[in-house]
Amino acid sequence: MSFWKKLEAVDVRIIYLVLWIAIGIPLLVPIGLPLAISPDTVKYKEAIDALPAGSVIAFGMDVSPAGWGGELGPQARATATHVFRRPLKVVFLSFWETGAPLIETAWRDPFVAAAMKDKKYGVDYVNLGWIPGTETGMASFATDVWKVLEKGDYKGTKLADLPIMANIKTVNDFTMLICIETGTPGGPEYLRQWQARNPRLKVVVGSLGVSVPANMAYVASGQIVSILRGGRGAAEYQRLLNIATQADVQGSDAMTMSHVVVLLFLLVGNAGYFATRKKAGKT
Amino acid sequence: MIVSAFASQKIKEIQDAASTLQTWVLVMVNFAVILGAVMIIRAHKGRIERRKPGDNSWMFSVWLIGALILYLMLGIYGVEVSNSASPTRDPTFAWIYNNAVVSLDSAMYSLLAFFIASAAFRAFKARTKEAAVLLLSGGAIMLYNAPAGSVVFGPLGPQFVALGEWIMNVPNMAGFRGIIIGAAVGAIALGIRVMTGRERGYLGGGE
Amino acid sequence: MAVDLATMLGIYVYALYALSAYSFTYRDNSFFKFAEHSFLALAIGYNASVAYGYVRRTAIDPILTGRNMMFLVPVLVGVLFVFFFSKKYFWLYRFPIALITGSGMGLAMSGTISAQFMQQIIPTIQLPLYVVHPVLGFQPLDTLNNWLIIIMVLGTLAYFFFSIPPETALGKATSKLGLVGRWTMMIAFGSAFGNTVMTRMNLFIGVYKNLLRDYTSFLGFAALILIVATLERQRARKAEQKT
Repeated sequence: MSFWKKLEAVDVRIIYLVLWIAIGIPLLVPIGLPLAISPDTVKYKEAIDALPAGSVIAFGMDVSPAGWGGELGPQARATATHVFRRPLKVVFLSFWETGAPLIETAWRDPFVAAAMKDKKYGVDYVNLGWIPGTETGMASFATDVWKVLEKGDYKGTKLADLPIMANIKTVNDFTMLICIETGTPGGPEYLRQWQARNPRLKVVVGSLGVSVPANMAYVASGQIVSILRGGRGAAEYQRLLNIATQADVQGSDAMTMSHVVVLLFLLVGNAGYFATRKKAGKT
Repeated sequence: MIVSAFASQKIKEIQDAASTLQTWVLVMVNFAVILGAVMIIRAHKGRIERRKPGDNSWMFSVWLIGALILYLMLGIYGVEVSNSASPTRDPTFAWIYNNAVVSLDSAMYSLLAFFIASAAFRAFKARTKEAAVLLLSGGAIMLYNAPAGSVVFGPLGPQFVALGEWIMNVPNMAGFRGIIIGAAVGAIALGIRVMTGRERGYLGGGE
Repeated sequence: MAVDLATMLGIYVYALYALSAYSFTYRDNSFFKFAEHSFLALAIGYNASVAYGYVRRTAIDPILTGRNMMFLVPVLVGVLFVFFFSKKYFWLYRFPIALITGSGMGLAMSGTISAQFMQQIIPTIQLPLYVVHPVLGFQPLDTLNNWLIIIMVLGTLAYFFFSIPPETALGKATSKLGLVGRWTMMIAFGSAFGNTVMTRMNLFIGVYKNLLRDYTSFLGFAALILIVATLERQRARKAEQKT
């Protein structure tokens, strides 16, 4: 068997082991590779910086635990740190049942906790928990917030006892929507149900890398002001806010290493394909 | 819903009716979730009843039913005790969510990382011109996304970054814009078919 | 002390479940089946608990306290889901399904026309075909990009036009434009692939980072799972050889 055929026939578990080792190296031994900041991330940050003091923003934590660890968790924590550092009113909510507990997980992050220590629950921020119904739930919330939240906030406190909710009756009372999304319902659904009702609503989205290509169409049309591009966007945002920890830097390095490994696999695999095709052509 | 979207805000009765219907729907969808739980229990109960000697996989079905019911009971307890809608108000329920559910969900979805790596080696071959273009575009974007990807190109790094941005903002955006518009047309057509009764698949089997 | 124990136990549970799931990459084994069944049980248990919580506070409480008896309607209609299991009264199950599907469809349609149809077409039409900067003058690259976007969007749409007969002049022109769309989509799907790689790798990196919080649990469970999976494979091979 030729070298290329032997390479192609290698046990797939060897490939998995190479991936474990390649990603493990930067996680164990810090490398500190450079990271350039993309214009989209700068625009995302500037959109939040430009909000006037006292603006009411909706923070949609529409995430699943799957996306939390690598991409959406860092995005959510960085965004929450940023909004709490500013004099804004923040309404946390989720249209994913798995996203609601992760709101409190985000609050426990040291940087977020430090930024929110002077903020008062019910006055400066609130957690409305999970709202069911996906797109129907979004539409209901957009037209009548209080009717949908008969249950109260995530602790069961009625909206009448939460000063921040006094003037929030429909989607027209929000200046900005920050959507950290895993999938459906997410950005496009918010655009259909919220922005269609409030065209002045600014929308910024932190999405999984998988959703970035489709979301670019909404960014180009101006419906979404800017997006965070998956894990890369999260890493850039952390650097911009000066909250990147050693673990975050190592995560970025691991991201680079994983991409290099997959690219090498692609190159080697295709080199083998063309080499064997050429040989087959000769014979 | 469609009428309320186009009716003036001044026609309060239509807006109120739509808003009430939406709130009712939010209550109804939750019964579907509970139906799903019952269906899973029935399916695995059937596996336990059909077990064959020598095959121990039925024990996992026992574990599934037991764990599901216990976790559901714990959640109901959390809801009742906390007087809120969130079962995670109970610390044990929250602990299981944060350590077991998050771990399993993350790990199951990230299994694809391994399969992508093995597929990159074995399956993604540039057999045709279109496949070659796809792979070149994919490779360029991978290097563009990698935090230090542009370092590979040394002094041409900024030009490579510009190429990556061009790919995302021009052909990628144009392609997905066409797909979004096409999908919108398809969604509207499907909606009309559902509303005129030509599409009945969502109603389930039976007579 | 109790908090530390809970955290440590949490780390061990996290490691056990994550490594059990990853053991599938070695071979199918009991730990993976355990993880798979646990995932299903806990995910459904969680969703059902949250669903119960919402119905309890939103509908049942107002009914029990007499605040809003109208919530009896969605509760009773929701209960009709139980007729999914009845052959004779299966038709009752269709009422809640029809209500949910109908309202969702109506909302999606009305929003789609604006957000995904008009708001995508208008910016494409409004792209300037000749870009001039007030200070720097004519911008050739931006102009070229705009032309490319318009042609590529039209090409992508043309690719999915199946109702024009291909033998007519219009049909031939549409299929040529569709070819442009095909190449555009290849580049778009390539970028989608590249972004998918980033997401999947980041998901794995996120779990890997958590596993490295404690080496004992990571290495201990990894060794245990590998040993058990290998023993199961040997036992399965022996059983095959006997038959």
